[in-house]
Amino acid sequence: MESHIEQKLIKRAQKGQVEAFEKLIILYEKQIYAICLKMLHKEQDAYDASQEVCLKIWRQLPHFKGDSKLSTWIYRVATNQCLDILRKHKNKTEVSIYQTHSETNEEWLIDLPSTEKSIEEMIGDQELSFIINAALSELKPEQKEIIILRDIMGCRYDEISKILGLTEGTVKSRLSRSRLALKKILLQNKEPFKSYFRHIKQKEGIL
Amino acid sequence: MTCKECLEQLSPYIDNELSLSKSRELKIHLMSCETCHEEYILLKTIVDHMGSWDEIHLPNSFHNDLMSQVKKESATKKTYPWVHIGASLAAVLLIYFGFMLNPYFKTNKTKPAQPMPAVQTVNEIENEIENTAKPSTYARMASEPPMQEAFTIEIWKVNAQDQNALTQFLYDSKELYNYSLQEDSVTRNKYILTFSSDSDKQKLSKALESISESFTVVESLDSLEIELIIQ
Repeated sequence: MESHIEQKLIKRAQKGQVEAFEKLIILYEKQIYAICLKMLHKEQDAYDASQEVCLKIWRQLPHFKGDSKLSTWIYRVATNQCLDILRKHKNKTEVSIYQTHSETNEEWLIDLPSTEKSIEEMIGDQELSFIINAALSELKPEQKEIIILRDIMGCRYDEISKILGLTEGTVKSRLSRSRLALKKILLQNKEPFKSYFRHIKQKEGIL
Repeated sequence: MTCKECLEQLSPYIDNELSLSKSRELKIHLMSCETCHEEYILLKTIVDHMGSWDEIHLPNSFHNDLMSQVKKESATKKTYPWVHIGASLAAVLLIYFGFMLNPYFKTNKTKPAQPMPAVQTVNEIENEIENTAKPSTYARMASEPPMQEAFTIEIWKVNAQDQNALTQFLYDSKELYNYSLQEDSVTRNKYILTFSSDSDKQKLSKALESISESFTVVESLDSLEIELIIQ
């Protein structure tokens, strides 16, 4: 449940008090932007979408009855907005994981030497996150959405079930399927993930 | 525990969403099965490197841009409150007189009438019903929402292989669930199902989910829509 202060702010914002809305939205705007950025991948698209989400929250707040947590409702509005955008752009070009790095202009599709040191040098944690996030963009919107809610926003299964209006069993199975789909994308000759994973396996003593 | 069971449980295991006994069972299996252990490491690596929302930087201008838009909208609302009051009054009066002139209002026959959205008018109808003490179309109208809602399921990305099977299934289940099906003319692989009730929509979506492992039934955030994606 929301804190007492948050509930008061909600009530005041519902009456149209801009100051109350500002205090409220400041708690959530970064999370809204994060969801939009992870769903839409382009900063400008995420910016526009999250502005629209925040405005929708302002406009629709008077109809918020408080039967769910405010955050649940906000995540729902945000993911809904992104899904709508993605559906509209469904037939447009898909983003490929084979990309050049934005800063170094370096191709990802590189032939990596298999020594432990150079792999660690070339693929640090940050780069690995970059690759995984690039693969995320290749997932279907609803798979992406559930992974973002769980792994990036840190929502529990019961929270996701409320946000997406699904049973917890469906959340569990969809999340599992979505992660497997992500893994499949990463393993489909997607260097340097493959090399990195080979390295992890060696470290774990699997190979 | 079999490998298949283990692989199904890996995702909730990583999220710490398994019961203690299941989790223990899975751990024992992972210790003895190299393939599943490898799978576990892989998934765990992916989940651990997904990042977190708090690492994302909100653009500097975001908050100010938003608030100036909110203030603009708020100001528009405040400037002309009389417009809203005036418009509401006019609407209520129009609907009221519209009803007075409507022959069905007077005669209270069973012919369907246009739904009337204004609360005041619905109250008027209810009073009328109480006076006549006869069940009529108006009784139904007064207790139901003024506009009939559309309950739809959307089906996307049906590949050629599954299309026949799906079409057959939808055809067979039409009698059971009472819906109308239309093929979207723009994207040939999209179907829109319109239901007359939410419970029929729920039942069919469950049935769709159960007929094939390769189907993903996606309930849209708008609770009246469901997508079915065939992998």
